[in-house]
Amino acid sequence: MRFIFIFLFASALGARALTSGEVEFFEKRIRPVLVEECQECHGAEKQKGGLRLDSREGWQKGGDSGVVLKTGDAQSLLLRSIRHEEADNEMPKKRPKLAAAVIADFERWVQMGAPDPRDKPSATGARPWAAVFNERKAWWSLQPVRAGEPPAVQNAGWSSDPVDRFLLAKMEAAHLAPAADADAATLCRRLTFVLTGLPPTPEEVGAFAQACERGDRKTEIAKLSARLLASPRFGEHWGRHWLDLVRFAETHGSEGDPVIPEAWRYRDYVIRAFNADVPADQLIREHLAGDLLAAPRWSADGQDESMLGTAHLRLVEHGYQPVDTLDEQVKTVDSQLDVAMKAFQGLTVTCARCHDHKFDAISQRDYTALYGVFASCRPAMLTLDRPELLAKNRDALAALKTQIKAALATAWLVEAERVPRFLLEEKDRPEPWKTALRDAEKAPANPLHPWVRPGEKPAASSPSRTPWEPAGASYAQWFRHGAGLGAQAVSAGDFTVQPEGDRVVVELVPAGAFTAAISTRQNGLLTSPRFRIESDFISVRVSGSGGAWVRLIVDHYPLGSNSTYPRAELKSDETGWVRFDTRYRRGSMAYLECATANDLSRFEKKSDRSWFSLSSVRFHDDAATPAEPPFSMTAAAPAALAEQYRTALIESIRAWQADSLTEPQRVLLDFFVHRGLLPTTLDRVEAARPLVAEYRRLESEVPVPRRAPGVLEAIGVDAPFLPRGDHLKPGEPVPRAWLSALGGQPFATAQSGRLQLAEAITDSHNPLTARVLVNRVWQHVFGRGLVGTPDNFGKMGELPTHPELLDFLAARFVAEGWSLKKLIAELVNTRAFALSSEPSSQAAERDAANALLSHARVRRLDAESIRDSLLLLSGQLTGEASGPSADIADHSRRSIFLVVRRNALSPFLAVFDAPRPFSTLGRRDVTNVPAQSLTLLNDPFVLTCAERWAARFPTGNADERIRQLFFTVFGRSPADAELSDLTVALAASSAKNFYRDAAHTLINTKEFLYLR
Amino acid sequence: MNLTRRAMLRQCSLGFGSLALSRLFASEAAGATHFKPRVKHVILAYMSGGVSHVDSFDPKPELTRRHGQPMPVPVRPTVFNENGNIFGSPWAAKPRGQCGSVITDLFPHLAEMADDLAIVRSMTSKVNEHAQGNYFFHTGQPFAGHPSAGAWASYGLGSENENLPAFVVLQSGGASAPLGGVGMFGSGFLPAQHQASILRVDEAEPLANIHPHDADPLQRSKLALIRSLDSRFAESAHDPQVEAAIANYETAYRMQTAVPELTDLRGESTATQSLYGIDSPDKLTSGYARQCLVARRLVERGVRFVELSCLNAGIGLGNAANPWDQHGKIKEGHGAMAHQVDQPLAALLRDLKARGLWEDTLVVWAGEFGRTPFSQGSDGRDHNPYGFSVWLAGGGVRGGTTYGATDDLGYMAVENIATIYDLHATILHLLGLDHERLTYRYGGRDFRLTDVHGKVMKPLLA
Repeated sequence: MRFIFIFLFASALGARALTSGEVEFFEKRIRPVLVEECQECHGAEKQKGGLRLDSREGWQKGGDSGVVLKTGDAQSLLLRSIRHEEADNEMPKKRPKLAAAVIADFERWVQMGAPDPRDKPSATGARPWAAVFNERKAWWSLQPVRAGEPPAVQNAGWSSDPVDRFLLAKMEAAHLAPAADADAATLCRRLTFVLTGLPPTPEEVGAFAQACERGDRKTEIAKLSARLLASPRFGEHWGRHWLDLVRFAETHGSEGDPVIPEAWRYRDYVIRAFNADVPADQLIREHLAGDLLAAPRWSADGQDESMLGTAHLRLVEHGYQPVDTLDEQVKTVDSQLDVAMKAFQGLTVTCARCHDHKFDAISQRDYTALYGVFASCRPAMLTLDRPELLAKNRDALAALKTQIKAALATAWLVEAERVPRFLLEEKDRPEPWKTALRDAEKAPANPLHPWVRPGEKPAASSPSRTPWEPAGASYAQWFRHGAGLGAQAVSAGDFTVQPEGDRVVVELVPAGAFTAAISTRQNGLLTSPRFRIESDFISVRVSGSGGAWVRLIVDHYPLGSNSTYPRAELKSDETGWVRFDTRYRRGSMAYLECATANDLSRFEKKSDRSWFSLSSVRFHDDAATPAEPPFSMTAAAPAALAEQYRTALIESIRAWQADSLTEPQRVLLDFFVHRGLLPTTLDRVEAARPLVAEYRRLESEVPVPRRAPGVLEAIGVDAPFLPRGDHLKPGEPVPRAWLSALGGQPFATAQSGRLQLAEAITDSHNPLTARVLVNRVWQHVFGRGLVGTPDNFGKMGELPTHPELLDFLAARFVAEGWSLKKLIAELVNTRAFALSSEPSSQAAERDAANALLSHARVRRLDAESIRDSLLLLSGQLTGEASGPSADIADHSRRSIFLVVRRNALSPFLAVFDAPRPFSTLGRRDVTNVPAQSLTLLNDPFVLTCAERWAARFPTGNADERIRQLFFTVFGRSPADAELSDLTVALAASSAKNFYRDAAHTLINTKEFLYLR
Repeated sequence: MNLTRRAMLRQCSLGFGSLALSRLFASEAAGATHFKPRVKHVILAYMSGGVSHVDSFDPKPELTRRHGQPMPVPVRPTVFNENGNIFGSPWAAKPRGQCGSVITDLFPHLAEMADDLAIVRSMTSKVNEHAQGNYFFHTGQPFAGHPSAGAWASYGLGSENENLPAFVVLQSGGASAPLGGVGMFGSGFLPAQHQASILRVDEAEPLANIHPHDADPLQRSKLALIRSLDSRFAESAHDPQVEAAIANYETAYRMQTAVPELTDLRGESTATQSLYGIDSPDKLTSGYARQCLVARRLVERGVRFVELSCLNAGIGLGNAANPWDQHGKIKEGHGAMAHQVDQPLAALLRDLKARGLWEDTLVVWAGEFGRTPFSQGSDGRDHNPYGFSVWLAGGGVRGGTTYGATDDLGYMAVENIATIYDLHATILHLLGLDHERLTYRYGGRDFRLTDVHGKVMKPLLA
């Protein structure tokens, strides 16, 4: 009966005309919330629980669980649900609880009689993105940073530090007083771990405690923190925090877990950057576009530091030989974008890959606009050394090469006169001539073929398309990297002065790309313009050796190795065609890559001498490998033909000297050189001997370049919009641009737009960058961020506990030049940092989570600090603090130097929550699992550490030796009760193992594992 | 505060809880399921590398008829691109049991159990390569970082045994994690206690660091000493996570006894051991049998989710991590692999029934994909993610049924096309969990095992 009454009443209300005030209230306060928060599940597309909320009739009808709204009833199901009073029916589902003000609006609306002008359900339920966007753009973190003054506080004497004042004001507002100051030993331990990830030595603790007692505590904290910040150990600890943000790993995971060559250089770069206090905006710029900066940072030994930042773009997980390469590229770029946007902006941009973001002001178009930036870049190994460094002795070598060339030409001209005789007089022929003539039988391209088979007609060649000739003007269309590839293609006949052995020269290369004109130590990475594979075969005319490869890179997948990824190792110093069967990959986008050994993004084998030449590319559908054009001679009679060979050869040698060799001339001359038909050895070109000796001496000084993973620019391409994220249904291209919510400026550039992206993020007006960074630093100093979700400043993230403080710090951070060390120093020198961890009873009651920081937060050491402490205590930490990574079984280096293989992570570190590298992880889990206890109780590594640690104190009586253990691990002496407990408990141990067992027990205490 | 048990556990693992968890593998809380569970345990017999469905549970007479002929339909890209012609199965097929499901002779023992199997013949996967396929099968995502299905089950239900983890992976005889590594057994963004513990059932130390280093009296003295030292620290630290870490040692101590006991089969009768094939002269069979028997023991002791690992026969590109991967020599390779698992798995089904565990246990048999109906080279088969077979058996499952179908050639699923998400949804459903409501908030999103997909395969349910 009552239901009927309500229904009638509600209908009557719907029918009556609403006042303008009622309509306005509904339109402003209720409708947007229904649309944004409810209608996705209770609208046109879905009717969860049989309920629709997109029209008046919808809520009037109710759902499966009956009536949802009784006008005037504050206990209506709808209200109870949004107030989270209905267990298992808390609305909006899987979203944050509505703001209290919004809930109040709904309560008022129901009180008003639920005036609802919506006679008809909406057709789609979706509100236009523009309206949604405008609303969401008002989110706090997207507003400009407001640099306010520290608030007034009652207890002004507590601290004059502005950060302290912000904190104290909040405490005072909550009627909480800050805890007492921590004792000096505790503070010294806290400070040392927070700044270096290692415990202080007993001497350091003692000295600090004494100094605090004697002098001014504040000054001593400043001195100690300055010393720790200046220690190389600082970068090794804080660098690891950064590595968490970029999912640092040295392999690509998946099947085979292939290595990312030289990834350790990026790790060292991060450590150096933290130790050198590279400004954070510069660091971010380097991460996104370090290879494109007008003025990169150079290390003292001539390494491009800036370029190393881009390595993080290559730390992605890769699928194994994917069939669908475009799908693989979508995942790769998504990972790059995910990390860059979470790490530097605290935004979950990749949630907008398949649809507009569910909560934040990020549209799928925004996602696509940024996707194009990273999708335009090519995976590569980057050459780090200064060009001048790599050009060492170049001019001298070039000058010598000219002289060597002259000496060779002189000898060749003499020898050329003897050619008719060797051709005509069989008995006079030296051995190389005999072989050459035998080989010429079946090879029409062989210059001696016309001699063996005079008058033979050349076969017709099949149709093919030559997209670019690297020999000509199109050389400029290719993308070059490395010391060996010049701005101009080499002309025909260029050669390498052999770095060792009897031969001076082996090959004369065709015009085109060539890496070894000066030295085979110089490197090259050459990639073609991007193209769609539309032919069944692609052939490339190349030569090379020393581990150089030519590869077809499909959809930027750098690891192709099975037969569906065409590629070939170059193993011949004789120019020839390599044919790729491209039928399997037809329709995909691709480019060709030719690279010297250490420049391959898929590691093959390291080789410091490697080279290639590339002179032509053909697309064809005929399965036959292209042939070199047949060599022809006009004369037929032996004497005339022999004379013609002599003349042709002499003309070729003269053209070579004049650097005007034609390709047929090069073929002829190269053949004679290759086959040793002309003198090429030191014995036979005595004039060249001293020149070559000098050349080789200077060449041996040419440095081998250092490489690191990175990306290379090509031509920027706008990515197609993918409806529902389906990469098989590409839509219109979306111009590359910055996020609409942060300005939306187009990246107007022919390049990828990385540089513009870097500028947008490091712009001092960007509201997120400084806030996000400052919050990350705050978290590592105080144990929890002012925003508890450091990687998400969007709606699903937590709100800042101290928004004004966050803005104050962000503004000061930018104004003072983005110095991380300065910021860290400022935070550890606050009084708040130096408080005791013991809360007042009021704080324990009213602020159990310690959001107001009225006392210090207790925290477990991170995995690396636990392992590093064990190594330090046991005196094993003696290894290198840089360089290639150590195996995970190593016991001599800090944990940051252990290799990070995605499929074989260190079990010890993993058990203590070291991250599995897959995405930005600004806040690690701190778990509590039995495997941790089992590790510390039973792992042989831990026992060994205990044994070695105890062995450091071999003398003295029992009390003294136990005291030493306490001192070294906790920086304090044991209480008498502790000492006696220990002695009694370990009576079960043997005399031999007593101290080891004591040490082992201390390692298992929470005082060891936790920092207070 | 109306904290659900799950929310509480989550808080604790992040260090903001106020609860000292003395039981880390907490017992199943009443009402933790979304609806009445049909089973309490899952045993996943994972056939890493990909079993050929057309040679086992989805036989196709058309392949025998057309043997040697080219495929009449376009062939999608394969991993090796060495596609041959239609390749009839080397194994004969016939109807089995009362139900008449047609199964080949590849698995003679399991074929006898046909009336207990619910065979899905229309399974599909999104990926065509092992590592991503394995991750996809285990976590619903083709890359690392997401929780394994077993971790979700643990997160949803906890363990029934406070001394044992809820999710256990068994290995023996050199079996290793499938390609892609142990990450697919991980807890991803879920709290770490939900990750799998790997038990090596035939090794002296079945779990890393499970053997006490010290003799028991000494260890107990140490633990007492640790506790007394810790109590002083805990007083000054005032932190629930410190207290939870102290309690952690009690669980660890008990595990030292509970875990080795699991793999100690001396208490099992000779008859039981023979039933499983532990006495088999085939080392692979006896190794796998050991896992199957331990799986039963785990289920008896309340472990929630057990995964079995195949041993490596080393045939046709099959390796320790992908032993079923017969790109060549499928007859020898599948023959050896089937011989390894057939008797032990059939014995497991029989034993579960005999001991009254059947109704509480779901057994799932599956690999990451099937294999092509055409040959690779002369005697192998390439991967086929477009249609393949998996089966379920046990409590809540309608035995003796088939669900879905591939085309006449066994190439593409064409009827009731099923996805891995559907399989996950069905497994969770049988455990009493709604796959759409079992969520975890991470990085600003509510994640599910089934992402935004999945539907329960109702016809499979009894």
